Amino acid sequence: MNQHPDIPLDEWLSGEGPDSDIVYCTRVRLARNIEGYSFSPMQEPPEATALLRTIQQALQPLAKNRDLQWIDLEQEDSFSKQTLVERHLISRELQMSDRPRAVVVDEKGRESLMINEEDHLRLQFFRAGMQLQETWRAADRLDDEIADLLPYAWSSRLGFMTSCPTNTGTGMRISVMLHLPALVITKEIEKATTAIAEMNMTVRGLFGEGSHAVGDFFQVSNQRTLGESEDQIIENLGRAVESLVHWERRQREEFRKSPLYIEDQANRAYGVLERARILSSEEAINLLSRLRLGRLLDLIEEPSLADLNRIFLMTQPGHLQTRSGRELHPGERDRLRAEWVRAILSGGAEPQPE
Amino acid sequence: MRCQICQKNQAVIHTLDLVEEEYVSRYLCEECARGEGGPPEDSSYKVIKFFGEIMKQQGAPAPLGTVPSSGQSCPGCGMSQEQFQQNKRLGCARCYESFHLELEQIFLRVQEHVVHRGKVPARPKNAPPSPLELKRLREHLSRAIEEERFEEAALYRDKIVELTQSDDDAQIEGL
Repeated sequence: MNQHPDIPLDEWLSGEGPDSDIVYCTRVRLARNIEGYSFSPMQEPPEATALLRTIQQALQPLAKNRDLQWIDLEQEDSFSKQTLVERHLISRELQMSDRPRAVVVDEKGRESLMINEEDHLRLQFFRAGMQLQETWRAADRLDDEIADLLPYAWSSRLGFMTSCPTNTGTGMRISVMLHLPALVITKEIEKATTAIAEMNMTVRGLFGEGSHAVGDFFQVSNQRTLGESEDQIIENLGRAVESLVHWERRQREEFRKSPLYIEDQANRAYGVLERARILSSEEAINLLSRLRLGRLLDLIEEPSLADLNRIFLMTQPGHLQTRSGRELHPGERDRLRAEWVRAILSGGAEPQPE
Repeated sequence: MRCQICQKNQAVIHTLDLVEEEYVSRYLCEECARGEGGPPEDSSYKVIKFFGEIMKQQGAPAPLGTVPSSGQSCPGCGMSQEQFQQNKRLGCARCYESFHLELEQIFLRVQEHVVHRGKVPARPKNAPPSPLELKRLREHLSRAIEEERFEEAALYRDKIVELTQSDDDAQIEGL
């Protein structure tokens, strides 16, 4: 496997894919452990290193048909790890952990295999838009290939044995990231999330801490992993997401009938983004969200959805710092973020590091 | 989750019965629990707590044979019961037996059923059979023989033979 940390812009961030007006992307995560080794929370560093080497050795055949990069996270600097987090390729837990650990990333930056996270292996697959079946099938295929190379800790009664009992069974968490600005503006979102919770699904904000959601972005995922097959879980999640998509579309149709409020919001957002010299991460996400809604309702002609997605990614702290090649304090980041936004919106040159 | 007897009503009572020196745990609805001579009126969580306390006080033999009783550490990785209760994370595959009682309470609370219905993974061709799976099958086999359920016993025997035939017998015995 290659050892190179420069990952191309993720295909799943293209803003395309089924239902992409509302569904940003689909993610499948599978938690797996290797038989005979302690789970990560009880591992001493020598055991963690030995496991890492065993896995690296065993997974060599996977690289035959795929272009994979092995990234040893102990060798990476903090910007690079932060960038991997912002690309959703590693979790915050893996970023912060002091265990020997690594991540394997595919050439399109839409599949990753975290090693020595809370579980020995965490397979993550992303696809643009609403693609539950496709994403699961791709994850299932790689999982089968790995099962031929490494013995999984599995029992016929409890399924895949994971470190956290809320993952036991299928070890699968399937999530859909949604943009629900119309439900937020009309305050229907609370009713919607209660209804989803009753279907045994979890809803949480995609950005922001805890229950404080920023920017009208939400993540819906399955709560249960034991007692239902993967197909049943996917079917139930699909039903929950479809109802949210339907609900959001209905509200957007209402706005289409009397568009003044959204037209105003979108144009204000565009005005600020085009002119601002200081932009915090939270303000940028909120403005981009409202601008995106206006764009989807054809109430504003610019910018393209692809540009909006690019701004989302490029203006996150890790990406800003990686491009600058040094650590930036929050004030510097807010200034550079505003520069990036203006550059992309005007189609101008990228800001250069000083 | 549904009652394990009638498969219809919501299970509200967790029973633990001593069968052949082994604790058998079941989740039942009130009706079926009454029929089984189980606790008639109490509701689920109280009953689980009650049995958990009794197990602790008496230092009763833990389920699944060689497993330590509550309050001890997992023989596989050394995780203590306090550590598990604090972090709610397991330290190794054997913790699933060591903290069996606590886990069933967690599963009852957050999961649909306590039995896996999802994917069955392959195993690498050169890997030895899973010690956990063999242990489980052998326990089922001996229970089926003792209870004279010979057809079922034959199925377990075949499965064990299938898992172990390609391997050296001495190695299997050593597990």
